[in-house]
Amino acid sequence: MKRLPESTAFLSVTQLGDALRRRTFSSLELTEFFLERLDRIGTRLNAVVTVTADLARAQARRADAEIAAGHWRGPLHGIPYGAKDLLDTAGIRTTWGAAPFRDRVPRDNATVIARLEAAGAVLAAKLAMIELAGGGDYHMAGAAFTGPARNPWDPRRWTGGSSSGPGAAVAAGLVGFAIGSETWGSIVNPSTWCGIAGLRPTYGRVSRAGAMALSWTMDKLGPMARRIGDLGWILAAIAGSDPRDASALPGRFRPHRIPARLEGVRLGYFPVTSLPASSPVREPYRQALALFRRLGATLAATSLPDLPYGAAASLILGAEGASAFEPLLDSPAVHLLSDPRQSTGLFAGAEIKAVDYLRAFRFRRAAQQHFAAYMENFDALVHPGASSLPPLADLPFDQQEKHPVPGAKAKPAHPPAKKRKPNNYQLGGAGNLLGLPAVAVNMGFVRPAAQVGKAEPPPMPVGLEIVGAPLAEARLLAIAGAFEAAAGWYRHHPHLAV
Amino acid sequence: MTRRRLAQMGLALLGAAPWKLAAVPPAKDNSAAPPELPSGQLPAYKKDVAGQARQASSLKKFPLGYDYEPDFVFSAIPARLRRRRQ
Repeated sequence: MKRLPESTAFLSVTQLGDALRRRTFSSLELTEFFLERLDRIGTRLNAVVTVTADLARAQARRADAEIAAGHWRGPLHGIPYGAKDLLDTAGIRTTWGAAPFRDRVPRDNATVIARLEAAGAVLAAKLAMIELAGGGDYHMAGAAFTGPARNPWDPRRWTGGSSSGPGAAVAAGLVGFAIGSETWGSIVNPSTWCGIAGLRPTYGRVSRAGAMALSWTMDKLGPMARRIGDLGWILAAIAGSDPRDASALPGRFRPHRIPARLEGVRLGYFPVTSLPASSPVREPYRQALALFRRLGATLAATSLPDLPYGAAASLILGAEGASAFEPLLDSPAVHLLSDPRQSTGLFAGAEIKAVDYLRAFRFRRAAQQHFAAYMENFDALVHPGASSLPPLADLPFDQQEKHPVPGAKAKPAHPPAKKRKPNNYQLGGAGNLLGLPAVAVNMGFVRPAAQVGKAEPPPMPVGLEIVGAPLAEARLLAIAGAFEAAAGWYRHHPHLAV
Repeated sequence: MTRRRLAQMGLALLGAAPWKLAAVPPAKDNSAAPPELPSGQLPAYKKDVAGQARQASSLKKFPLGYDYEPDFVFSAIPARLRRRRQ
């Protein structure tokens, strides 16, 4: 069997697919290559729950036979991928990242898994995640029975969550792509901190049948990959109506061509000064905005309509999460969760009054109308996906060191009179409450400040979040793809010392 | 006559078994923390519940009127039958 070079690990889906069609290597050779990396690197990064080696080899052999016979199923044919371990896989344990469910073996495949199989993709691994997708909240990266997922750019740091395994596995080149899920931040956040491309589709774009339910009206499934262009091909394979999920919208998805320029594109951005003064992402964000201008986009400073998106999203997520996990809350197994913060939050969510939940739901409709009118001014909104660098993986979030950037002010000279949540919190709350699509794309690297007497830490990726109107995924991918190509950050890969 | 007794009589008239009411657990006291919660988690629990109350209160500032809410449409056709029609 052919031994593939290390650089194969960081090829895009499109490049891998081209190589398979040209017979540069076979799907089985590619699968063995990724299986070895999943075993050698994935376990050290705590990125993997189950390596599905037997299934992967069988699917890869079938892909090779079909491609050899001239039956090419499309861009994902023969490409190994990983699925967040909340997607049911027939006969293969699906643990939801949580100790109480570590022996749970479903009978059927989730719709997304079945659709990827139909597209010829090869399931190589079930990937780690924050337990229960962080439904009850969590206070440490180790809120998973697999331990804290480690960031391939610096394994002392966390990947972000809750799609922590997909973030690590894609960035480290352990799979061709991955499927994650987002209820509030779980695709955008790890994509940002792992320096990869991520897509949170419009609510309803992708069927959730066979996925763990955390919030029936906020859960979304979406792709995570090394290049923006890959996301469109993956979404095309998994989108569409499904009789098993009443929320799944009809209609196929077709990606747009990624343009070289962005003339005529109207971008709303939150000013750099809206970020905390000590935020290490200020300078990369400033440079990203300048690049959008050079690409021909029209930029206008803006701020979100001042509405309590976060409050409404929290109440809906809290009440639905407590209901979804009610059997667990009634069982002693709830105390097997790795982070006690989870059960505390779920128990508290059970105390949300029905009238408050319903008010949040009714507010959501009103906010949707406000937001639709606001978005008529823009094709998309841009903002950093996170205003900080990933925390250290082995310390609780409230015991983290500060990461000041040299020259940054400790406090703003004139603190705002009214304390407001940061814009990425507001944008995340609004985007997930209203079911809006978002794309995460790498916008550069920041080297954390060195601690006295310690070696200089490696630079960490920082990301941009691009949010649009419902069903605007193709436009968002075109904008993000043009930015990605011009910025060129995708050429950088982590140096894995394992 | 208590509400419970009235309910028992109503169910008896409908042919249901009134003893089944005994299986219904008593209403939970929402002012207290769940007994399953370890005492060490009580402060965080109380903070969460208070935060939820604040969030609910912040939403009350937005008048929502009396309009019919299309998001709360119940379908009389069971989901399985609806799927067959698709």
